[in-house]
Amino acid sequence: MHGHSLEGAEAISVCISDVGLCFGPTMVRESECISKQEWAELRLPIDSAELQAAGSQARGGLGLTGAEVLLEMRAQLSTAMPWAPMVTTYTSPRPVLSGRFMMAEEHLPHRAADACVAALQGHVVAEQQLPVPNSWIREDDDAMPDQAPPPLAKPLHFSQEERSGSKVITVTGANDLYVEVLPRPSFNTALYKDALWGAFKPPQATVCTG
Amino acid sequence: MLQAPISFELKDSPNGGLGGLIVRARNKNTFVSSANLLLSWRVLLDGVPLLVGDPAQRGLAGWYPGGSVAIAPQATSPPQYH
Repeated sequence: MHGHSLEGAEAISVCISDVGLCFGPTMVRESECISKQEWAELRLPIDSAELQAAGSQARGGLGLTGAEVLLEMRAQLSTAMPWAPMVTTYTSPRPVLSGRFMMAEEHLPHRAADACVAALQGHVVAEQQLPVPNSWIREDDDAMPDQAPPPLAKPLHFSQEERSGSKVITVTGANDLYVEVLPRPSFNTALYKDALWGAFKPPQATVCTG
Repeated sequence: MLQAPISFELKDSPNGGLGGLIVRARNKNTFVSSANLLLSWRVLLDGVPLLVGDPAQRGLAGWYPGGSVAIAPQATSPPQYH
């Protein structure tokens, strides 16, 4: 299916399964009695070349070596309800162009090459070399009071040390915990909430490639 | 309460992103479409919004409007009534 009308972005394809979808009238409108649509793809009006140029310019023409370029997506309820809060946001777990910052729900268990991951609760579960300032590291254990997460079996603990000129962040005490290194100095509540409810689950086997 | 009713995934582009970055969106709601959600996007460079794209479209903090897209809910079978 093509041709969704979008401002600034273009829906280029959708995947529709063969599974029919039809609910009672009290749940959804009849118009939503449709085939199951698995996903939609959007093409944003920005490409890698433009990002490269804009990023380099923003850094005073120094190029993007060592820089982190991430895409952040946000979804909000319609402005027809101006009181509605931001409901979700997303930052690409892998950078658009280079480098890496994020350890996110889909990300960490699959990054054996980048992160030395062990699964035993209370032990080191992740280790990743991240050249980031301390102020960018957040430990997500201070949930919003009205949306508190389930009690944590064991709190996360971050420790940092310098090794051969690189900053090594060690995350311990994870079991169904979300682990994230935010690439920004300010705490992003919405990003936190989004991440929280898709809690990070550490792998069950030791995947440590050094 | 579902905190993140829609999920996003940056897709690999066969031509290195030329022609536009591609993002795949999924609706995580069980019963309702994503049509009531307004999408927006921005690029962060070292944690700071990077000003790219059409300045006329740009909002506060570097956010650009992404419109909305109606993605059907997650449920794969009709509800069972007893």
